[in-house]
Amino acid sequence: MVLKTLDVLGPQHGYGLARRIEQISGDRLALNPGTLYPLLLKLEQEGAIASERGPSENNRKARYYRLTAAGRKQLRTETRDWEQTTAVIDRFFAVKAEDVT
Amino acid sequence: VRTLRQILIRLASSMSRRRDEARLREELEDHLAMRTGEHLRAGLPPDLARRQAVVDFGAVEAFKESYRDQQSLPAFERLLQDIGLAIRRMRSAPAFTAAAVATLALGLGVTSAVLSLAYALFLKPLALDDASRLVIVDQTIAGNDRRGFGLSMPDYVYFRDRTQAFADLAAHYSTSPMLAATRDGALNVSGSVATASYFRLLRLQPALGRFFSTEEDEYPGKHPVAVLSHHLWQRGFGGDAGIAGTTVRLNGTPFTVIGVAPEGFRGIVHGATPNDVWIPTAMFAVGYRYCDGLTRGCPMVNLIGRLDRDATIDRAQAELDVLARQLEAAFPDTNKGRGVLVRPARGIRIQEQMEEAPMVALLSAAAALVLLVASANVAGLLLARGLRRRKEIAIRLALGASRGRLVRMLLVEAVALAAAGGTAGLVVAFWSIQVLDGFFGVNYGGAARNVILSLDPRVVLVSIAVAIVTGFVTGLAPALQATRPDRLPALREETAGAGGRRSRLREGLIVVQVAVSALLLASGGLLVRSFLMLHRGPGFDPDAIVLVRTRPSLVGYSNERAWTFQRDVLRRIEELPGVVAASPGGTPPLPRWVRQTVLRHSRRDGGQPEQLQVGMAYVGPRYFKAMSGQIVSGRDFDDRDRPDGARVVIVNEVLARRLWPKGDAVGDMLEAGRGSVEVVGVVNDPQILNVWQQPAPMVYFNYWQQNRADNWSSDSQTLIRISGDAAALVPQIGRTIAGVDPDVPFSDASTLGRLLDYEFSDLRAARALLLTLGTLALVLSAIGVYAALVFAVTQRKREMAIRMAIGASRSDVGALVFRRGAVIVAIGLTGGLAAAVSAGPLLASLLYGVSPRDPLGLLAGPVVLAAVAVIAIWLPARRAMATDPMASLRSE
Repeated sequence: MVLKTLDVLGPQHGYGLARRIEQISGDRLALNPGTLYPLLLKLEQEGAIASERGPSENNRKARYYRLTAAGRKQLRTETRDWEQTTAVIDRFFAVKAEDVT
Repeated sequence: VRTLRQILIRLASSMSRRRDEARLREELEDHLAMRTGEHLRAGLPPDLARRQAVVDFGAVEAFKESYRDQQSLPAFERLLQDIGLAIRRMRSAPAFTAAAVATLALGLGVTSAVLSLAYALFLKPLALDDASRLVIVDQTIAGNDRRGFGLSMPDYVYFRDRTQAFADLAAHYSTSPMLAATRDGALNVSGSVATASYFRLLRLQPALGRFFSTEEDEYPGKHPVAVLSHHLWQRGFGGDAGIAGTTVRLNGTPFTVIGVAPEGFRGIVHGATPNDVWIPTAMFAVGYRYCDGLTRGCPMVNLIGRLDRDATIDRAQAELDVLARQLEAAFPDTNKGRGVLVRPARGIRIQEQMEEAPMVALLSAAAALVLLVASANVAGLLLARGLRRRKEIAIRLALGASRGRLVRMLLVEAVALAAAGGTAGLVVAFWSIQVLDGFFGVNYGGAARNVILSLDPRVVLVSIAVAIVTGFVTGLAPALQATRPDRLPALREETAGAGGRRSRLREGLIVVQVAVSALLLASGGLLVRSFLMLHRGPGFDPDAIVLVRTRPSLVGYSNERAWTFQRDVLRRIEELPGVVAASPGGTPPLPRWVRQTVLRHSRRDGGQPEQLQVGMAYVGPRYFKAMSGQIVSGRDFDDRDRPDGARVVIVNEVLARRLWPKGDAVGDMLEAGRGSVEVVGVVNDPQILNVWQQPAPMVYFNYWQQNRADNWSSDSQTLIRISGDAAALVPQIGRTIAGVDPDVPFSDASTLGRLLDYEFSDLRAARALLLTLGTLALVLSAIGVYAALVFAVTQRKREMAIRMAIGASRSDVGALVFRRGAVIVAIGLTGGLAAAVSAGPLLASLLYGVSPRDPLGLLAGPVVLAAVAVIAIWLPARRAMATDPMASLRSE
């Protein structure tokens, strides 16, 4: 999700990311800061994203995260995996008794 | 790969904590600021906006925790934390740390030194290429327990030509005495007679020149060629680069030097004198003279083989067994009952391994016991500290530390202590090895033996492992005990209860320590007695007797010429000022050298002839004067006893009492060896022979009446009794012998005391180690007793105060403490003594003239221990008596 958001919206700071994800999910998904920031750190350690300090909208400095090449690759793999998984699950939900007899 | 990268990054960030803390704070601040901004925009007042932002954020500490965990490796960090804590704690209690580290260092150091010794003696491979495939082949004799006999050259050739299991097989006789005429004069060196395959098989390259060719080893006596050791080349020939091709005389025979062995190579027999010269087996006659080394009747060589690529020792053994049985069938005269033993080329010679094994077992046991005492002591210290730290531990528990975490913290402390102890132990080990090397690494002349005793890296690794395990084991019990929740009243009550529970574990540990030190001291005491008996028997001073071995047979002198030489040597030596008496002898007067012979005696009254086995020695006139033996009846040998005249003997009192109970030995006849001999005297034995064993029957033959057919009969272990300073006289004796005939090889003159030291070096080593270790154990257990009682007194201060307040006298309270200490020490002492008595048989081989239950030897050490223990008990008891009841009650 974080990778996708960064991919679609470009570099973001942590708070922005949390807000965007909330918006995209239609406020149904609130990302706890205790989950988000360690996750960002982990992704950065894995090399999927990079970060640097930059000015934010209201003249504060903030840490901006952006996707790296490796992160883009990871996003593609995970997107594919996700699509495969959902496709399989979709098929299970779509199944009707007569289909398997 | 991603996980690895993550671990590396985390590891790196663990190291640079501060920067990441800043980043954490920064993210937190940014988040809150933005959230606050949003609330502001939504119309909330600033303070409420900020508050709402914080509320939205949730638990800040939990956030920090999870952020930090992601940042670094938590388990690793905590370990680092614990280690840091342990180090700080060690620094904050220097006395405790020093005591624990020193204790462990001694225990671990001594253990590693003994391990190193065992490794060098039993396991050390030859320092050669692919040494794991090298094996040694010795001969075995049915019905004989000794091992390591030589084989004959024809047997070797038979094995070599038929074996499949060996890629190569070489024969060598590596204890050949050689007198090498160098540019700086004659040197006594140890030589090796070896086949041409020897150097090839060992995969050595000459430092100079070449090694023997197969042809040079083919025809007896035809190619006198020699290879020198690098050591001899440097020492005797100044490292002359043109040495190859020059001539050097070995035992009087000129040899052409063809090469120099690589530096550091001194032969392949660990424990023997290092070799300096190699000659081919075709020249065997120069290296060994008593029989023809090339014949089947003269089994002088040992074999070394390199196993074929896929052969095992078992296969080689099975194969040689078959060949040996074929030889046995073909040559029953020489090979009956002869087999072979194939074993890895490791450690010293097999027979010596068997002889040293009980000794090393003893040392290992002693070292292990000391390690046990040291560990018990440290465990005791840790226990005491654990109790003292109850409050701290209770607070930690109350603040939410898990018990596992606390146990781990305490364990890390113990292991850190042990690791420090292990490191310091290496220093102790290094030093102990020097000491052991003094006992095992040199022969009686002080010359180094070919056992390189050093701190082996593997031993170091093992001892570090032992240190860590020790730390773990000694730390575990105290850690578990200290963190037991039911032992943690500290937060509820400000002081320990009046009862002060006794620590059974701790007292048990002290009992063990006392027992072990009693055991070591008692055993050490026995060895001291044994050594004193050996070395300083009544009326016998081995330092006033000088021995020198002359060997004219080595340079091929006829017996007539040799005996003339011996007579001249004796005459000139006896003329030296300070010499009391001198006598030639067949064997040195040392217990382990006594030869055996069979005597037959027909009673004068015509009873059944009696046959018995007795010890024998060849000695000259004035031997007994030199050795402080007393002729009790009859006479000593003298000039009347001609070499070709009637043969005469002197018997000792034990034999005289046995055969002539009426005391009429002198003048009677005995059948011995070549015919009948007349008894001319009865002597009471020199002390030294009796110390070694129960006084045994012994017959002394006249040196000058030996069988001329024995070509070594002209060699002599000459014995010289001196008065005054041996150091001044010894070189003079050497010059005198060289003055008579410079070509005759003779060993360095040495006092009998020194020979005894060497002969009984195992006894000396055991004595030194047991006493040192015993004393260490004594000091450790005394400290243990003392510390435990002081601690108990402190703990029970209130109880004592109450007792005194309700009428107990000071001495009552003192007795209370004293009794408790005395019981612990008494149990330990009794146990230790019982163990010492039952360990007696283990020591028996080292006890000369002392029973394993000798009360003086057994009790001396434990008595000292008891005395020290009484002091260690008395001091805390006095402290208890000095308690001021009111002060200590009020202070709480």
